Amino acid sequence: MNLNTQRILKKKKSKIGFFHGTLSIIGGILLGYLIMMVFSMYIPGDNAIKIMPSIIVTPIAICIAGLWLLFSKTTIVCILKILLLSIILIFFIKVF
Amino acid sequence: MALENNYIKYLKVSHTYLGIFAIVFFYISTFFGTITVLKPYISTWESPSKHFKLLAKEDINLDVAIPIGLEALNNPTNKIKITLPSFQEKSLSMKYGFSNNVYINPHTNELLNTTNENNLLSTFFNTMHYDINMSQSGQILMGITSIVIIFLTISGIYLWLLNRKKRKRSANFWFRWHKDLSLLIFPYIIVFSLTGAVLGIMLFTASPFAYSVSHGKETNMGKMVRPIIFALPVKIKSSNQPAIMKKYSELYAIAQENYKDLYIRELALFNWKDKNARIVFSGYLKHNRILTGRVNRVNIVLNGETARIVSKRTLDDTHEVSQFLSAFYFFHFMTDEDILFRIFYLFLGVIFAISLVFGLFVWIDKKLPQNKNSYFTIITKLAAAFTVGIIPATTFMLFLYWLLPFDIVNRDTWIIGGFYTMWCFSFLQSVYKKDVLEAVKDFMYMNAIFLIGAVFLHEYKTDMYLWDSFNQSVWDLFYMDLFLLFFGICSYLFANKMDTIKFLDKFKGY
Amino acid sequence: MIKLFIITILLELSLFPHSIVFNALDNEDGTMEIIGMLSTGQNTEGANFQLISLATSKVIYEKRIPETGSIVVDIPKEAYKMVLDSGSGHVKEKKGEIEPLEGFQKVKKQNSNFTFYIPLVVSLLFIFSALVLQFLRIKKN
Repeated sequence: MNLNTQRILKKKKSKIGFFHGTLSIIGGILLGYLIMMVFSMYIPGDNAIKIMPSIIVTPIAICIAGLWLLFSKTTIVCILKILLLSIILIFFIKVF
Repeated sequence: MALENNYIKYLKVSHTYLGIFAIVFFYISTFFGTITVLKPYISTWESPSKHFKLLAKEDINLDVAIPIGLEALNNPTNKIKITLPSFQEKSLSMKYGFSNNVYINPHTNELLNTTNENNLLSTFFNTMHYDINMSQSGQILMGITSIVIIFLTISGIYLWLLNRKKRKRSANFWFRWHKDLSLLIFPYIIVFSLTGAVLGIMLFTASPFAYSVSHGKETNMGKMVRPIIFALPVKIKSSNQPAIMKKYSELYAIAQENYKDLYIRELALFNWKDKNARIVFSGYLKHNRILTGRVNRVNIVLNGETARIVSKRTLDDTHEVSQFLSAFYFFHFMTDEDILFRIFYLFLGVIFAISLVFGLFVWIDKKLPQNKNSYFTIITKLAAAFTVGIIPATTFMLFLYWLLPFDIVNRDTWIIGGFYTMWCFSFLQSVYKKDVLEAVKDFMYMNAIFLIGAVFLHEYKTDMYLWDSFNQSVWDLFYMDLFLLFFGICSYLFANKMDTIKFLDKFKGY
Repeated sequence: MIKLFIITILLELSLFPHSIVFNALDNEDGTMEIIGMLSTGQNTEGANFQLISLATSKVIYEKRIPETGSIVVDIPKEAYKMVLDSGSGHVKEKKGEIEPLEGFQKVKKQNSNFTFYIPLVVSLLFIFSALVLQFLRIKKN
């Protein structure tokens, strides 16, 4: 990674950059879906009880995940948040 | 609830820019959604064949009306669906399988001639509400916008809670009203944005949940959930032994007697005139409309020959998820609710639309002083045409509907084209008139002309004047004409008095 | 995993808006079989099927789908489109791909649909005029 990119990713920003904003949106959607996918696996009951509540709660999960990603001091923190949580959640989905 | 200053800035900026994105689509959805609250009444208003009084179910002669409908459908014997008259559809409607409906006047038991009636206006308003006339991609876009509105609600409430400690009243008029109106109707916003998100996009993108629940084996959510919540009745095959069916009225009375709390909305006939004939009486519970809505109807099934009760589906027989969905959708569709509930929603819709517009003005007010003579000024003209100009464009459709003869070629295209043309014309008008308030005055005058013209043309062409609909107790038609006339007169008076209204001084200079 | 996520989101069918599909199969004897069904596999009995001439917009053939879910029709001699009306405003259209053995006859096109273009052109003219007017006003200031 060259010096310029490093500076951009690690710089503390007083404004939301376009990249940070877009990342929060895409990351929010990804994490929202992954969180509810894990939840739906553990809800006790038949398929309808597992799936339908997840469908309804996912929009709220997307918004909360997006907010959490928005509150990142630097872009690299935002990327790390997405990567870390995605890996943990995908691990849960694949293994259990 | 302390938050870093930077994060507060991020919250404000994200609320602003996502708000601008959302308002473009959600304002249209709110505007047409508010109109769609009156869908049953608009549908009656635009269909001359349905200008008759609503008949109580007990007074309908099913034994005469149903055979007429069956004959019009070429006497099918299976999967026949009969919808009883209600405020939503005053005629008795019948279909079989996926056929088109045939409609019967319950007073005269005659087939209605609905050749030139395709519910253009009510369907168009509903379609604009949920997909801006762009089919599935429009529906998904509306779903995405609904999710954005949920984010705006959460971020807006968060900002409000953060600010409460300071207890400092904002000097900005637009901001105060945007915040206060939105907080006032917060439950309404959450209900519609959440149901909108589920209906618009979540049902289309539910395969990840099917994947995780089935551990990777299945991705079609419908296949996994449908058989559970929409448990299909056991298919009874035809015995090929003809039988004489009991009278429809007799079967109806037996069904109602054995299921007193059931408000019967529909009848369905299977294997009719056979020994294994079934008649299903379905509807909602009179004392529990919320849990027995459109997606969770209860029913009683009788044998068509013997009138023996075959089965009875009560609320306890329905799945919890169906009950939940019924309640969830109830607050969005209010299918079985009549005028009072709808007027309440109409009122909330208007408040929400105003709140959205004021939110936009918070941003315009901030940006305009720095961009007085730049291209940014087109935004205020666009905003006026988009938010207020849409009103005369819609009423122009009502006017055109009754102005144009019913038998001209491509009538629907002319009427819908007229809507878009008038909307674009309102943009030209708001640019031409340097002051936005002058343009709004013109919009209100046009609105008055179109509405009064539409009511007059409607009454003249259907030969059903206000006093006729009053005397014949066709209340939905009477109140619809009255409401449109009242709205037209109010628009005229408002346009006349605009210069004297002090509140409107806030819009000067835009 | 992500690819599956994206693809299934874009392509998968959902719970409530089950779609209606219909297909035409060439019997290679001058006829074709029309099969109408829901995405769940149920047939579309009762739905109204029409063959409409592309040139004249006239209905060449019309019949309701029977209980079997399919009908056999003669392949039209002129270019056509297939329309399946499954009630409640759900109409599906498809351009007719199957040609008769001797190919389509040429039929003079009638009634070009200008109706769509007139409001479109007028609307675009209004928008363009508004933008030009505002642009000139800004330039003047």
